[in-house]
Amino acid sequence: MGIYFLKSEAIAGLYSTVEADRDLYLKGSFSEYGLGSPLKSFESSGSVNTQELSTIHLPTKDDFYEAENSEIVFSAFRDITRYQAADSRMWSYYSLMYGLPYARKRYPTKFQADTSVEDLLNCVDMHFLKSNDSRNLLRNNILARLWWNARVVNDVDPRTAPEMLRALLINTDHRASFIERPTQFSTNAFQAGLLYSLKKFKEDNKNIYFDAPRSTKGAAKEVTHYNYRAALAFLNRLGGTVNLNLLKPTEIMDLIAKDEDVFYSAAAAKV
Amino acid sequence: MRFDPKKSFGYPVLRKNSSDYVNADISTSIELLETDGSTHIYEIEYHVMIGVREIKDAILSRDLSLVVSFFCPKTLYSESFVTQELNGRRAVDMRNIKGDLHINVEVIVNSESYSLVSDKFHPEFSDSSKSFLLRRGDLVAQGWPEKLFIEREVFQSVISLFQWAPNDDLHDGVWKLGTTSDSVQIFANTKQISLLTAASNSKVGRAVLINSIFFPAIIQLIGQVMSGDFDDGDLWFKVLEMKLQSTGDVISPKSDPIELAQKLLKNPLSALNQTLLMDE
Repeated sequence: MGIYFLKSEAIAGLYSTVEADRDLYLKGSFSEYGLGSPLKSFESSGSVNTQELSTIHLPTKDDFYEAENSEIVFSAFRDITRYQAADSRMWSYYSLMYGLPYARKRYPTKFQADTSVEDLLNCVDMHFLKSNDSRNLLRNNILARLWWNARVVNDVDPRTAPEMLRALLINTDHRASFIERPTQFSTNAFQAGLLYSLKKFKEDNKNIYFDAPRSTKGAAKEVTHYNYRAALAFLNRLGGTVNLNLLKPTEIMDLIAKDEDVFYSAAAAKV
Repeated sequence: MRFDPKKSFGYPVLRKNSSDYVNADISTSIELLETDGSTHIYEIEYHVMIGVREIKDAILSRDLSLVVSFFCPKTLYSESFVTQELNGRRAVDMRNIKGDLHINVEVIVNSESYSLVSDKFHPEFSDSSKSFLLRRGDLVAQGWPEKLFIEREVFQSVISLFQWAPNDDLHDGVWKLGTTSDSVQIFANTKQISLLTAASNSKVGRAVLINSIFFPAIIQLIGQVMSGDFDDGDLWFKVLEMKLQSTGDVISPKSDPIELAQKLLKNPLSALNQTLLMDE
């Protein structure tokens, strides 16, 4: 069995029938919808272990199981190429076929009986069908975002991938600070930044590095001054004058470490 | 490192559209080459021309190095290598790349320290100092950022752009053309699509399809480009553009759509000649 991709026309059809398919999204399944027929999808070389996909942990209030599920999805799609992984039509097919129970638990407010058609349409667009938007795949597609979590940590070092995955996913902002800034991937700064987070995570996952000194005064409710952001800003500044690809990630980590006291105090000063 | 010709480094950096140097330039050219025996592995050939003798000499003496970086934002693939060669090739696996591949060439300091001198500095630098002491990793010259557009469709026949799309409101024998950002659809009713799909399995059937469906469809697409009815991010537009680049053509308001469509389909009439017409 190959890898399935929804045809563009089938995706357009699914958009136009969201209201009619409402029950399938809220409590049903697309397994009998015929998405695998040649009129709705096409096959490419490779394989996907769909049995593994069925072992995804359903998120709870207390634990989204992001790291565990990233490993499961990465393993189920272990044979795909980056080219295939960047194709939203593939993720649309598998997210609809196998990701709905997970999506309902991960984003419960979007799958309520009183969810409006407009909100459901937005949800289907964001988490299942949106095409030609690589950032959406990294951020919102039900299965793609999990696969990419595991992909980037395996790119740094497969041996440390499980622990680095947990460091990467320590909070949503930390993940976004790396994965949603794709230009960082073009230099060793990305690897060095992740390795530095792993180092701090291993020391203590409640490390001050992951703290956000936050004012209890003022109207700002959003936490933005995480200490690790100062490290990433430092890397940005450094990369503006020095070609970081010439330096080894360990050399770059040493430079971050030298600057650490400065950015802790700078972050604290912003509070 | 982002290319910004207006950025000041506190010392001269050779860049296009920057006045840090006078009467000196850096230019790069990039080309994608097929390799024998592999459908996935291609080679990127680069050429770097530097108009400052001191920089070229320092590359030869290894005080400076060239860093060539590839980065694909869609697949997060990145690779860079350090070299002393101003011209060279690097194999890349196309399965790692989708869409734009950014290619940056920078000349950086390779030794622990390097004294940058040149008689081509802009006078505002020469006034203050004749040389600048740089440290390892500092930027000395930066090529204009290059980009290659890489989609599988670019390397396949232009016909791979087309998808059959059922529309049972259409009568037998009738078809319509539609475009989305990433495909071109041939609409026909379900029965008609079955017949067309079956036809594509034989040499004669393919020759007929190329001439009766794909040829007029491509003429229509070229017409859309000529009239501005497209988005320059549309996959089909980028594929047509890349395919025509390889034949030295561009779509302009004065283009002949029939001539260009024949080039894109490698003279579709010859497919009929080789199957139906020559047999008669």
